[in-house]
Formats: sequence, structure tokens, C-alpha cells
Amino acid sequence: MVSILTTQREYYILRPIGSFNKSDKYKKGGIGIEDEINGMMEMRSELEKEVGYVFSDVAYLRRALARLPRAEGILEGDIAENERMEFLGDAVLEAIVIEGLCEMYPHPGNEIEKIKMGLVSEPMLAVIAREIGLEKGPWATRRGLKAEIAADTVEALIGAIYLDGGYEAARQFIEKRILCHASESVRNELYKKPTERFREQALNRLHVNPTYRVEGKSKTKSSSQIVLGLYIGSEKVAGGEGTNRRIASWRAAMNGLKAMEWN
Amino acid sequence: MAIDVSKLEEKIGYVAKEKTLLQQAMVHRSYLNEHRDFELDHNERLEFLGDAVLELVSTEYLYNNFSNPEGELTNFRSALVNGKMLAKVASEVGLEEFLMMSRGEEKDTGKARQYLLANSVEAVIGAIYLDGGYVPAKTFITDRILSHMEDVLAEKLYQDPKSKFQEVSQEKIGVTPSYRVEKEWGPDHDKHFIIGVYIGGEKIAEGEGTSKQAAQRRAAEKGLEAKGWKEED
Repeated sequence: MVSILTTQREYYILRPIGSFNKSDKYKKGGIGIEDEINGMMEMRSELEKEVGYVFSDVAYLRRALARLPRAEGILEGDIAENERMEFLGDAVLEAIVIEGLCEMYPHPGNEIEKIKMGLVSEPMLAVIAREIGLEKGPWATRRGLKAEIAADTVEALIGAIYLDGGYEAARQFIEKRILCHASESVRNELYKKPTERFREQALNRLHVNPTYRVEGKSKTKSSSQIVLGLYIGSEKVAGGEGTNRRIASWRAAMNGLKAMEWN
Repeated sequence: MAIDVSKLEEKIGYVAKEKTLLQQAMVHRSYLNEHRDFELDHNERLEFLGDAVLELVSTEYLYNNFSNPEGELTNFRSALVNGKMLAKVASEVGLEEFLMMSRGEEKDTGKARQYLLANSVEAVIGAIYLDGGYVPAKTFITDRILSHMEDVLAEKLYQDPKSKFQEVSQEKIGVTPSYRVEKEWGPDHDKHFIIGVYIGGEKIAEGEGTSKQAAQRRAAEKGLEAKGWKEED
């Protein structure tokens, strides 16, 4: 079993000689290599606590974290392997989320699909990354973690749990950390487009179909802008602008939901 | 009307504990428009569940059996589970005779039918999964779908026509092809595009699709044919 997180000795052995130079850059930040190893070991147990799963083969964990900014030169994890793991983790995540949603909600298939999209989206997974502490410990850079890397790492982590502990272990993590966010989305219908939510609310409450009117347009060579007004009957409720009609109508609908207090 | 579930079980090689699940997997939503008092729901939820299970099983298979980088595995997977392949699987399994759909849908035996057939395979997978869990679903997928991996590799079905067209064009002529929208129409939710693929100033072929990507892909496919480059490596 390859494990660099267990002892300092093993850590040095696994680290290619050439990469020792990289330690200079960490020293500049006031963190020595020893601190990092200690930090990592601490990180491991803390991360496992947050994830709610203890790896029997820590090599999986190491591979899952290989794309975090400062893992480079420390973990020596293979980026290509990390991406393969993310590919697997993404499929595990989707299957478990869909299964969970089908169990919990009677909604039609296309709505289940939309709820799922929200739960497995990059911003949502970046939130999960923060919740389980991927932004702390030796990984943290002053600028934090890019949402894309954070989200990809969560997927890779799910792949790692699946490979190490199987479907059930992955399901427990996903239920505890991701599926729990479903109820808010379902209750407030956040998975629907704002324009769709506004129209439904207007129809249900006022029996009126809202309309959008173009109130301004500007076009230069490099950019275009459109301003839309959102009307219920002849009364203007809100406005929105954007680079195209779709974006402008979404913004108008969001503003409309706020203005009517239909959120 | 109900289907002969035991006959369907024989075709798919799985005996269900809950027969109505298999029955439901065969109900297209259009059927319910004409039979409003039908006791079961349509197969859409099963289809979405089945789609996710299929993706998981095929991804795990590829991850375990191929050491290719992620990008190539993604191409393998889309060749293995795309609509065209699943429609083929549906006819191999013989699902068509069990499908329950509206009279209008019954008449349409073209693209719409292929689409419906592909979805029914996913719905069957969803039904098997709900009824018997991961193992029998995996068995069905392995026997009926993953068994096509050899064809995918042999016929290079994983190759994206756009990148292939570009590769061959650069190699043979030293020119990167370009794409131009020739025509677009329809409202936002139902857009259509016709896109031409050009080498230099010369139009090689056109493709139509409901998104720019789809139309470009189609144009590249036709371009490969027009140039006689289909068999190039």
C-alpha cells in the first residue's frame, strides 16, 4: 500500500528528489516542510471526520486531492489519474443523487433532473468543498480555492470513497453532504427558471400571464445590451438587463419575484 | 390494455418481483394522453433513473478496463450509451413490440421512434434497478450494452466527426476548416440551424440540427463523406 500520509519517512521516500527545491517556495510563506507533513496528517483525520469516512487505502485519498493548488510537489499525485477518478466520481454522484431524489420526491422525471442539476452543479460542489474543509489546512492558498478545482476535487473524492469503500460508503457521504440540500431547492422551486417561477406565481395568484417588453437596446461592435420590462397587465413590476434577451428576462423575473415578495 | 410481462422478462433476461415496474417502463407519456384512466404513470422517472445507473455502470467498466485519459473515456462512454446505440440495443432486445404509445407516435417510425426506443432501454434499466438493485441492472447493462464496446473500438465510433474532419483536413490540405451559420429559424425553445463547413472559401457540406454544435457535427459527418475521408485514420 502506498501511503505518504502515515510517516514522515515514507513521505520523503516517495517524494522525487528534484521536487525538494519546490520546498523553498513554501518556506517563503513561513511554512516548513515538517509543518506541512504535520498539517497533512492532521488534515487527513479532520477531512475524514468531515467526510464521515475513514479510508483503508489512503492512496485513493491522496489521488483525489492531487489537483489542490499546493498538493503539487507534495502529494506527487498523478493528475491524469485524478481526472479519471473525477470521471468515475461524477457518475457515482449522479446515480446516487437521482436515486435519492426519486425516493424522496414524487416530481416528474424532468423536474427531478433539474433538481439534480442544481445539486451537482459547480457552485454547489464548491460549497460542499468548503463545508468539508478543503479550503483549510495545508491546501489553503491565500486566494482560496477556485470553484472549478474545488468542485472537481469533491467529485474525485467521491470516486475515491467509491473505490475504497463501495457504493454504500459513497451513498452515505452524498446523503449527508449533498442530498440534504435538496429540500430547500424543492421547497422554493429554485430548480426552475426564474421566468418559469414568475409566470407560475402570476398565473396562480393573479390569473395573469406576465409579459416582457423591450425598453432599450444598444449595440456596439463588441457588445450588445438589452433592457426588458416585466409587466403584469399594464403595470410594470420590474426590469432587467443583459447581453441577450434570455439573460435580461431572467434578471427581470428575479427582480420581479423580489418586488412581489414571491420568493 | 396491458403487455405480456412474462414475454418481456424473457427478452430482457430478468424476472421481476414487481411486474408493474416493467409494465410502466414500456409506457410512453403520449399513451396516457389517449388513456387517461390508465392505472400506471408513464416511464419518464424510470428513464432518468435508468440513465444514471447506465452511466454509473458504463463509467465503472471503462475506468476499470481502460487506462486511457479521462477525455478519451468520455468519448468511449458517449459512443456506448448515445441514442443511436441504445436504439440499436432496443431492437436487439426486441422492446419495440411492447411499447405503449399514442396512435400518432405509432405512425411515426422515423427519428422520433428511435428516440423513444432509446429511452425505453433506460426505463427498463431503471425498472430492473428499482426491482432488484444494482446487481441485476449491471448484468443487463453488461450483457446488452457493454458488449458493444468491441464495435465502438473497431469502428472508431468514439471519434468526434468535427475533430476528425479537422485532423484530416490539416494533414491532407494544410487548412483548418471553418463553420458558418447559413440559416437559423424557430423560437428560442425550438431553434434550428443549418451550418456549412468550409475549407478555404469552398463549402464542402451542410448540416442541420437543433443546436449549433449538433449542426456542426452533422456538417462534419457529411464533409467526411463528401471528401471520401470516412475511412482515414
